[in-house]
Amino acid sequence: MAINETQYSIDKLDPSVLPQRGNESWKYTRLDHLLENQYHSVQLATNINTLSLSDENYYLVNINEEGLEHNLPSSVEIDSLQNNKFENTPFNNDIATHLTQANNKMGYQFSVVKNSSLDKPIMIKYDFKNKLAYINLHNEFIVNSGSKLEVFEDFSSSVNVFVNYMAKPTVESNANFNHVIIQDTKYGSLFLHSYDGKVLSNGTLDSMVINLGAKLSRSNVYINLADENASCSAHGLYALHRDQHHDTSSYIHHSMPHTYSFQLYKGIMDDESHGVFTGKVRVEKDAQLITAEQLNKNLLLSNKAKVNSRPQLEIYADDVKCAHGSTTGQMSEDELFYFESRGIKKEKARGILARAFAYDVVLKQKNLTMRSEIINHLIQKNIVRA
Amino acid sequence: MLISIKDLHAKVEGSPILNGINLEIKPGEIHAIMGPNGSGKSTLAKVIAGHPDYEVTEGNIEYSINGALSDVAELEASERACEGIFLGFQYPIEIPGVTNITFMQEAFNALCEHQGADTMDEDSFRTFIKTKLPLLEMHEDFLDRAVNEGFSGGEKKKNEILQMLILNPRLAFLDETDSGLDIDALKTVAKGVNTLKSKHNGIVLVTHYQRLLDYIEPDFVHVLFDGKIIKTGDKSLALELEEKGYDWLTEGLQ
Repeated sequence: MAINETQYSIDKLDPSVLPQRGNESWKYTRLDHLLENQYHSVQLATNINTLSLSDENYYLVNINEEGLEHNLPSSVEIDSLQNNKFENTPFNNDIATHLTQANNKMGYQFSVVKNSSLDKPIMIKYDFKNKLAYINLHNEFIVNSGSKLEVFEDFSSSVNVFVNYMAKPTVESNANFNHVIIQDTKYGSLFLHSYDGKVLSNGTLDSMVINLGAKLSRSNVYINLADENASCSAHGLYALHRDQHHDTSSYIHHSMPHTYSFQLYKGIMDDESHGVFTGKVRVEKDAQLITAEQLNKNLLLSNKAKVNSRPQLEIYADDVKCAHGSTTGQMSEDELFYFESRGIKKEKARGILARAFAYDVVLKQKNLTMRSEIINHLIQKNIVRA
Repeated sequence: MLISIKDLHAKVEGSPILNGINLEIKPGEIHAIMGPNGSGKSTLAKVIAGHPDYEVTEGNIEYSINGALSDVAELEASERACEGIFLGFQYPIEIPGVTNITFMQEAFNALCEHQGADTMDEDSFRTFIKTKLPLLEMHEDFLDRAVNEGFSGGEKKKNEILQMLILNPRLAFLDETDSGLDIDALKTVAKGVNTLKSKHNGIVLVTHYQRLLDYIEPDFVHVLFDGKIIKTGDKSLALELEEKGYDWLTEGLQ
């Protein structure tokens, strides 16, 4: 759909393009303060340079205002993206997608050649330095057939920014993509994130999105299991405190028979924070013999924290295995007393239990280097503080 | 004296459960507390351990700390544990996401810190705890599983005893540690409890059945009814209760 780009200019944002009250998908999240216009558009340079630095655990990619530098092996090709096409996804009419379309010039394509696998994961670090910069970015990951790719994308920032990021992975047949995105931007930041994943026959996409830092963040995760025996896991963790607000909207699309999806989303809400989870699983009429599991669990650490959780199933096939569930609760007094009765102070016990709650998601990450990277963020962020 | 309980009254969620308990335990003694369901046995255990849901309304609990009896009213549950009071749970709690070894190491190190002793890292703690496993016929796998998650009834109770042996408490209050155990597991658990027994420790067994007392010999048997101790005797009282039930003691009391 063509959009009027001028309506989406960050300096002259047209109020009518923001999610209106009555927009079910944005029912619990307001973007009105975007109109206060504190951000200024920053166009990223599209240079691609070689990085002489190396790291024993990762291939490195650094992306910032000046462009991209990397030390990737030749089996991964990088190009800058120009005027991309946008496929028809359920989030096509979403503000995040529209902002990407209206600023459709900045991004990179990472493509792994067929039948290759890297000996270590790729770490993509985004390091934006302009205060209150508004940054649009759109990256595609093409994992060609028979290939294996592992990518850890780290959005940390020491200044407040507004990032609108779209990640678009395509996992071809017999390929395997393990993908972590961690959002750990400075507290005053705004982070919109879209995920447009497509998995072909016998392909596997393991995606994990961790939302920590921004004052307001939203993840639109769409994965299309587009051919037989495609499978995905889509896991997420949001750990919030103060007045942080996070909203995950997940949509797993079983387009074909014999496809498999597994989702575990967990939220930890402290202080006056607010978490929102909407998880849709759609199973098309001909998509028989699929398995879809979805679980959303939320832990409230304070009386003022809140969560809205909406699991949604749309099943048009009749021979499927679907399970979904949602729980929200406070820390169990019985569990706390068990710790205390063993000499462990209540505050310490709360910390251990909160960490245990989060680790449930973290342990789904099978790559131990990437897993410990996530744990480091959780420790630094002190989200497991008692 | 290890602990001196005087005229203890306590309530939970507004209902009075304990109505004047008097009990003294000296180091080296084993006491059994028996009594019908709902008589207040588990409540007494939880009140002594400092469960926040239980409110002491009258009387007091004095416990030996640094050689002198001190009122424990102001001590949090964790502080009582650090002073050597241990509660073996009737229904041990499952803690998903926390491994058994982490849980026990945290507990052990909390105690070390309290006593000003050196804490142990995971490797040395694992070495230490492994020496305790054969006694309870527990496999090392137990250490790396989530606390009590998916454990059978017997495994949970053994796990309680393992924790007790690691923490080496001065006063162990074991709440129905024998319930749900088959005879082999009962013997194993009893062996664990007898290992703790010394002239420095007091042990209280809350139980419904005489059979545990075949393996752990009590010095005193108390009958708790309606929140009060209505009879105290030696181990022959347990045999008498096994034979006659409680009616001959409780008639006219209710």
